[in-house]
Formats: sequence, C-alpha cells, structure tokens
Amino acid sequence: MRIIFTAIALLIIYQTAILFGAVPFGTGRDNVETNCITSENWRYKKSLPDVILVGSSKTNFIDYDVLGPKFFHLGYGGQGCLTGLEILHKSRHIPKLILVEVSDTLQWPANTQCVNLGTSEYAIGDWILPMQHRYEPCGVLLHALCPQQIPNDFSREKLIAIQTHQLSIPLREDRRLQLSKNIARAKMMMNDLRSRGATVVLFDIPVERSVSETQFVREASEFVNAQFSTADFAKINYPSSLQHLRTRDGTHLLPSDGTAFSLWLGEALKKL
Amino acid sequence: MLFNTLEFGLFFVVVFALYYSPLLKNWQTKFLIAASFVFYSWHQPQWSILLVFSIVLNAFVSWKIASSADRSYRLKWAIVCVAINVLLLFLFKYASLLGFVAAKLSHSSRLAEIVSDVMLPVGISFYTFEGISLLVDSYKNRNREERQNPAGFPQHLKNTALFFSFFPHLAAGPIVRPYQFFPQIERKEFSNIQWNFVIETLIVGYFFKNVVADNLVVHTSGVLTDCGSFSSINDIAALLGYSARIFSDFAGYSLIAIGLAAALGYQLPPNFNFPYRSQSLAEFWHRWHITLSTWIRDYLYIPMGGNKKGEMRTYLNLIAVMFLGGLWHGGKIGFALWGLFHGVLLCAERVLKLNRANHNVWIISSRILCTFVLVTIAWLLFALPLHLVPHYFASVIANGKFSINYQHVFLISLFSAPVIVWHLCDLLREKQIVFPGKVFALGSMLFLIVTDSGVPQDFVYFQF
Repeated sequence: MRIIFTAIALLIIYQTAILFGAVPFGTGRDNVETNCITSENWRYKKSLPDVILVGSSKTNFIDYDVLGPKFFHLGYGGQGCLTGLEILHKSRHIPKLILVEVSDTLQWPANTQCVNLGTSEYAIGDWILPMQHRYEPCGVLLHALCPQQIPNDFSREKLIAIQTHQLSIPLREDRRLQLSKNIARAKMMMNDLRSRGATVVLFDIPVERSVSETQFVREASEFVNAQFSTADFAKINYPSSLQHLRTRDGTHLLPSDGTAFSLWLGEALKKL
Repeated sequence: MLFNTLEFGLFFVVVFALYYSPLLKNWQTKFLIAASFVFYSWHQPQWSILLVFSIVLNAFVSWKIASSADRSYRLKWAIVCVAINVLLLFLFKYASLLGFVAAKLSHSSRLAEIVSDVMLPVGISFYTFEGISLLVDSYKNRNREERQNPAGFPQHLKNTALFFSFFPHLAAGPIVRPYQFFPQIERKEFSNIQWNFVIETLIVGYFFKNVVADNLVVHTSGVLTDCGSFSSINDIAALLGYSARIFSDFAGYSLIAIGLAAALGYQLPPNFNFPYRSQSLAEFWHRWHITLSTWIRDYLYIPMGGNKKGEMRTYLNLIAVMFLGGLWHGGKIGFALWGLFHGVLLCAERVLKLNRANHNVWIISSRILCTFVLVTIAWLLFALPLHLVPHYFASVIANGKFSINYQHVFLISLFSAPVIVWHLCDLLREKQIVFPGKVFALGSMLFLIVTDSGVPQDFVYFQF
C-alpha cells in the first residue's frame, strides 16, 4: 500500500506544480508524442486565435515569434492538413482566418488519435494534468536539458540527397486515388468552415529545390493544385524569391529561412 | 490479448474476482482453463483448435507412457508424439522459409505468397516445448504424482489443459516444466496471495515494458532501419538502446507473467537474472531467458552428449545447440546466424578458458563490458533484416561527420538508465547492501507508468 500511496503523492505534487505553472510544456520525444501535444495545445488553449495554420510538420518550422501571438498552428508530422481540418471541423469555435497547407502531404489521411485528443468531450488529462502528453516528465526533461539542434552542412546535404532519392518515383495510381479521396474530404470541411463564417485561404511552404523537383513531389503537387481551382478557393503563392529557401533535411525550413518565410507570410496576409 | 492493454486489464479484473469467488470455489481449475481459452482466442480464435489438439494429444500420450511399465512401448509413444510436436512447430514456424525455398525451386511467386500468408499461432513455440518436456519427463518417470493420480485420465487431461493454456505464460513463456506446475494445481485461497510480491513484480514488469521498452522502440528500431540518415554516434546509441529495449521488453513481459500467475496462486520460474552483468557468454546464457536455455540444456544438449564426450564433441554440441536455439526464434537466416555467432563464441570461451573466476575488479569489469558488447552486436541480427546489417556497419563508419542528434542520445540514455540501475541493484544485493528507498523507487515507477508510458507495442517475443 505504501507504494501506491507514494505514487499518488507524487501525482498530487506534480499536479500542484503544474497548476502553479512551475512545469513548462515538454517537447514530444517522437513524432506521435509531438502530434499529441499539438492537439493538446489546441484543446487547452486559453483564447481563440485570430489565424490558424493547418498542415503538415512543415508548418511547425515557421517563425511564430515573427507572426505574433494571434497565430496558432496545427501542424502534424507525417500527416497533411486533414488532421487539423478534422479538428477544426469538430470544434465549436473556430478562428476567423484559416490557412490550409495544400501540397503532396495531402496524401496522408487524418489521424484519429490526434483528432480525438483535440476534440473529444472528455479526456483524462482534463482532470489529471500529469496525464497530458505535454507534461510527461521525460518530455519536460528533454525540453529543459536538450533543445533541438540544427544539422550541420554535411548532414543537411546527406539528408537532402536521401530524400531526393526516395522521392524519385512516379505517383502511383493508388496514391492518386487516395489523394482524390483526401482532397474531396478536405474540400467538404473547408466549405463547412466557410459556411460557419471563417475565411479559408490555401498556401504552401517551400521545400528544398532538389526535393521539389523530384518526380513524386512534382506530379503530386500538380495533381493537388489542379483540384483546387482559384475560382473556388483563395490561394497565396509564395514569390519566386522564396523558392530557394534552405531546409534542415529537404522539407523543414532552417530557422533563418523560416523567419524569411514568416515575414513574407505576415505581409501577404495583410493584403488579404 | 496483450498484457499492456486496457482490455486485458478488464479481463484480468473479472477473472480474478470470479476465480476467488465462493461460487467457483470448486471449479477454479476449469474456470482458469476457460478464461485462458478466452484470452487465447481473443485475436486468433482459429488457432484454439491447434491448442486443443496439442493438449489432447500430449495428455493422452503422456498418460499412456506414464501408465505403462513396458520400456519399449513407452519409448515408441514418446518418439512418435515428440515427432508430431516438432513437425507441427516446424510447419508453422518455418512456413515462410519453406515457401521461400519452394518458390525459388519452382519459380512460383504465388506459392511463396500462399505459404507466407500462414500466420504463426501465438505461443506455439512455448507450448510445444512444454508438450515435449511433458512427454520426455513422463518417459523418464519425472511425473510420478500424475502416474499415481487416482482420479485417472480426466484429471490428467484437465491438469495438462491448464499446464498448456494457463494464460499468464501461454503467449511467451516462461517455459514451465510439468514437475514445476502440476503439483501446484489445487484449490487457491484469496488469503494466501503474496500481495507484496505480486504488486512489486507487476510494477517492475509494467515499468520495463510500458516506460522503458515502448519508449525505446522509435529511438532504436526506427533509427537502426534508417541508419544511413543518422550519425555514427546515433547509430551506436540506437544499438545500445536496442539491447536495453529487448531486455526490458522480454524481462518486463516475464515479470508481468510471474506477477499475474502469483495473483492466481501459481509460481512461475524466473526467466531473467540480471543478464547484462555476465562476465562471459556462458554466464549470459545462465541468466538470459533461463527457462529456454535450461530446456535446451536438458532436452537437447545433454541428450546429445553435452560435455561428456570429449572436447571436440562438446564444441560441436554447443554450436549445434545454439544454432537450433537461434532457429527456434523463427525461419530467418539472421536467427540461425545469431545462434551460430553465440555457439562459436561459447566454444572460443571454452578454448581460451575465459570462464574461470577472477577477483580483480578491472578484469571483472572488462569481462562484463566485452560480454555486453558481443551480445549487443549479435542483437543486430534480431533488430535488422540480414541485408541491412552490413549497411549498418557501413553507416557507423561513414557517418562520422554527421551532426549528432543529442536529443536522441539523451532519450536513449534516459530510457536505458533503469536497465543499468536494475543491474547495479543486483550488485548491491550481492554485497548485502540494502537498496535504500525501495518503496519510493517502486512508487516512482508506478507514477511513471501512469504519466510516461510509450505508445503500446507488441511484445518482441510474441513473434517467436
């Protein structure tokens, strides 16, 4: 019994520390955890943001300090915009402006766990705060002791080369079918969000040039862009000067390039 | 049904409550058999038939053997039934390998597809070995109390059914011997439960599985299969982490099985005895998956002559036994090579007489380190498909200039630390130093199970 009491005492102490703000949010220790934390950040947000960016992990590497506190993002690693759209679709309150990343990442369907975590009526973490993913002790330790670092040039080159090699394949018919299905679902949700008063704008984030020129990304992007006509959906396209931004691994922007993209995005949104 | 799922938690609570209820006081064994079949059929109901067949066959033949005084008659029955057991195991376990070979010979990809679709019935490797030990022990008169059982064959069938199907050890061991299990089959009382043992064992088991092993999966297997994209340090860290993961996964599973069995009044043998503090590979095999290694020793190595027929024969026996032990894990060339690797190194240890005791701390430490490194390198054959193993070594050599992902190294260190501490505790215990703050440590483990469990994964040994 003493063991169980000790565990309960530790839970109470940790919960108290969280309530008093003594525990910072942790970092996801892997993709699954990071995605869960993204959903929790939406679930437990203090106020509704003005603008939300919905997309893949590319969205996580934009400089949100530049964009300001009214911006929020639902970017999911290994997934596309569908997870974020499903969350907004099921949420009672939605922001005024929704930016949706449309790219080859639309091939990935929504993740049920992330959607549920962001929208379900009840979650155990609502009452027992230590059971929220963002307060997992190892994630908190990781965040405090070991910040994410930027790969050196050698690693970058290698990682970009690997990704370029892996994406040098044609867009298979089954993937094309999956894309069509996902696009139809995305359109349905975007129309619903618009009918609820939100403005939906499409956008994309640049990737490494060699990656964007691979057969798969090229064919998938062309296919996706053809499905979203400009007559139906407003889209902001990044200028050619931003086409050659540098990335960590072929897909995710380096901090300085993330800042450059954010500055442009902020300006582009002002013009809307 | 997996031990680390909510559905199992509910299942166990219901079984536990009914098992000790006055209603089922006289039906405990039958109830436990029924519950075990529900457990087994949860995801693979079709294979229950195979389990029933195995139970009936082995119960009938072992009864026949134990009831007869005619030695040649007993031997005949034993040989036939052991052969059937081995054949069944072989057919299911090596179906994909056989299919691959047959397809290569006949140039038919359809054949390979059909055979590779044959699923491996969960636990077949474990209950087949238990069946063989039941037959051999009956032949050798080790199950005397069964032979003298006045209730006759129905009672023996019931006992055998529980021996095979007892759900805490059904899916992945520990491999139990008839002489250990049969005498325990009797009415159990709630008041006799050793609660301290049950709670401590379950907490440590679930901690190793849910917190250590499940959190290490992404940072070990994920990195090893994509080793070309990581730095040499990260690749090495991933392999070291895999070593910690496979231990915590299987040791965790075994501890959970032992704890659950103890809650139901049964004692299962220990399966792990701090294997990573072994000073030699021979010692490692006395400490790792103990129930399998002792089974192989008793039913394979000793009948083959063991170390009683000269040096050369001993080496041959060691290599053959380790090779078969490797193949027991499945029909992959990697497993066979893993067994051979261990067999050859065990022989080398014997030749170089590295097993001899030494009291120098530095020599002991370096032996422990060397053994750990060798065992860990061999795990590569478990962790990766064979064709990726050379690629791993090439990446370790070539990726020195890659930036080190410190988050990855930090996480591997963080989640592997409990495995190191666990082994250090045994050293303390050996020096008769009482581990301070045991209650706090177990309480913290429980706290971490609640707050820090990884994404639930299958147990590694379920695939064997």
